[in-house]
Amino acid sequence: MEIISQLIVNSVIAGAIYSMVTLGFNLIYGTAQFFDLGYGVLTAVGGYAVFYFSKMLGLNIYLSIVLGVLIAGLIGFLIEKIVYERLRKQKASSMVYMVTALGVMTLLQAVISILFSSQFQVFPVTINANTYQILGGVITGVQLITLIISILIMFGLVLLLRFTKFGKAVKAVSDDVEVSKIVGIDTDSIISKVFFLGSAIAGLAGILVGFDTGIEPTMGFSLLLKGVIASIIGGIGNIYGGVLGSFLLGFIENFGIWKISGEWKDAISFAVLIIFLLFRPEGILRKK
Amino acid sequence: MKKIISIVIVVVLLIGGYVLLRKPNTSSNTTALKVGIILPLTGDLSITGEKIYQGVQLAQAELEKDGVTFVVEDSHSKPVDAVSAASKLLNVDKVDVIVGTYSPDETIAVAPLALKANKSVFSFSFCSDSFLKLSNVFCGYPNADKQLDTAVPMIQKKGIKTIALIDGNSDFGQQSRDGMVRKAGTVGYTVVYNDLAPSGARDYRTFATKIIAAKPDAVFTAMDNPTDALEIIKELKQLGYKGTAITFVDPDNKNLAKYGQYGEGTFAPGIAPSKFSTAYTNAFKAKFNSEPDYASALGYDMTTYVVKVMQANPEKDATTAALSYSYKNPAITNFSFLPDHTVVYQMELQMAKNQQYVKAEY
Repeated sequence: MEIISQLIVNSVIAGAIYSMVTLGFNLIYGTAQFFDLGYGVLTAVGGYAVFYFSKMLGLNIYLSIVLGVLIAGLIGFLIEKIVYERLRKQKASSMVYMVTALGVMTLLQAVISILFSSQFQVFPVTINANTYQILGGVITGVQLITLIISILIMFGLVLLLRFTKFGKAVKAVSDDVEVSKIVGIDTDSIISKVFFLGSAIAGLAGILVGFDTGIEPTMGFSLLLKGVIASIIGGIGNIYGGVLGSFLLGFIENFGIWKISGEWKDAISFAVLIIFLLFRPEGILRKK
Repeated sequence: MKKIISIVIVVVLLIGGYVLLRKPNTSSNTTALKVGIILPLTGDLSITGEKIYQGVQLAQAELEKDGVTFVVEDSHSKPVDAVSAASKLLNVDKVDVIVGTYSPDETIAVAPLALKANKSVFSFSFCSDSFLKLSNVFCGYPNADKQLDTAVPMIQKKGIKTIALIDGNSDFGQQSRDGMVRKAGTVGYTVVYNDLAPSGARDYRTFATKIIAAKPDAVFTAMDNPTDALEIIKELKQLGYKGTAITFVDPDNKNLAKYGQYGEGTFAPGIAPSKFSTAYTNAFKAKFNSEPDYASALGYDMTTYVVKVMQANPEKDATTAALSYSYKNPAITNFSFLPDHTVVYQMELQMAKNQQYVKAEY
């Protein structure tokens, strides 16, 4: 194992995980136009769904993954329909959205803790137990799969938004909800579908993290924080920006603690966030 | 006639009132006690917190027959929540004593409140140096130095010359790290890496990379959450680390099993042998359908000991009485306290073998 190569691999793995969270978060932010702080907990929903189906019901692990992704998406969809759509109709302020989202997060975390205990859990089997060497750095099979899936999701989203009717409608809603309504787009339906898609991506991220390091009810909050930082660095609401911000954050964190204590990792992330908020709040790729 | 009837009614009312309103006297030699329990039943420390609570529940079932009442609060593994719990127990529930808090940080946070209310804290924490000034605190584990001594023969016999330390950024992590640094000269090893890690970080890859770059013969990690310690060892082994792994944690076979091959061969110093009184072992098995371990036995003994001490010495405060009390039929052999408020128990070095912690012979 070569140290610099390993640091690069570590940074890329962290970036891949953050980018999955960021992609879904940015997608939802772009259309619903609020900071969905409840989004992070959907990673835990996906993870615990797989844990339930594979370990407690004994289902095939791949079937469990599919069910986990669908359940995370469905719960995100239901939250949008039951909670956020009503707030939109009431023309609630952004503060109300934020507090409600925090409430959703706390509620779902509590439900998961009650159902599965707050203890850390692992899946009964792994999807790839091998380790690989990339340019002298070691990467596990699960981490490699995470990296590949994050890249596939990014390209998939780009294709979806650019070449499908649904994607064009999403872009229209992101640009201007009122104009979209005037031209006949069912904005509520589009936003609900975006919530399903974004939440499913969050669920998949949680499942992959679960295969790598295990799951716990509070796992989503730290992932969300990193996702939000990456979004702001790259340009909030911008898919390419989110991915760029995620990998940049991964590199900054991992190289940042190479010569200083690892305790500083989170402090470094938030220092970068503050610098961006002060000097380039629109992020790297978002136009002013 | 009317006067006689009135007198009879008054007498009946007085007797009835006396019978209804008098305090129940459950036992002639028992003082009704109220015990406040604070445990990390959720959060990072809940693996051990839940085990301790199993022992507390067994004690509770026995002691409630004597009229002792218990109020249980969850610290959520956070010192700030432990303080809220202590404040409620002391000011609202008016408990006579606090049994609990698990991490040193929780204990340090709660002790001043209890001292102000003139109450003792029988903590399940290891005896941190930070407790030296806390006259009302007792500890459920010896201090780090005493526990780490059990690893010394293994370190010497294996010829370990360089050690990497990665510990939690908490009182427990720092005291453990300091203990290992103090021992370096006398035991004969050099500390080649020394870092603190945040609890619950889950991603320790770059910590592991830095440790491997330091090329240590052994890695020592003391994290509040045993899961974090094993996660670090897992990530080290994934990166190809072949040296000795030492985790300073409460052994938990269920947790160990989650790490499969990565936990194998990991040492755990300062552990009590899993041999407890027959009565306790049978009661535990009957209620929980599993084997007892030190944490649950400590929960039982600490709770029972405190109640018995206070019942036997109603005129003394628990802090004074606890040191001179002779406790009959403990779960842990010879359970008692030393003058430095540390619990007494036999310790050994254990090792993970076939996903079970067993005594390591060195």
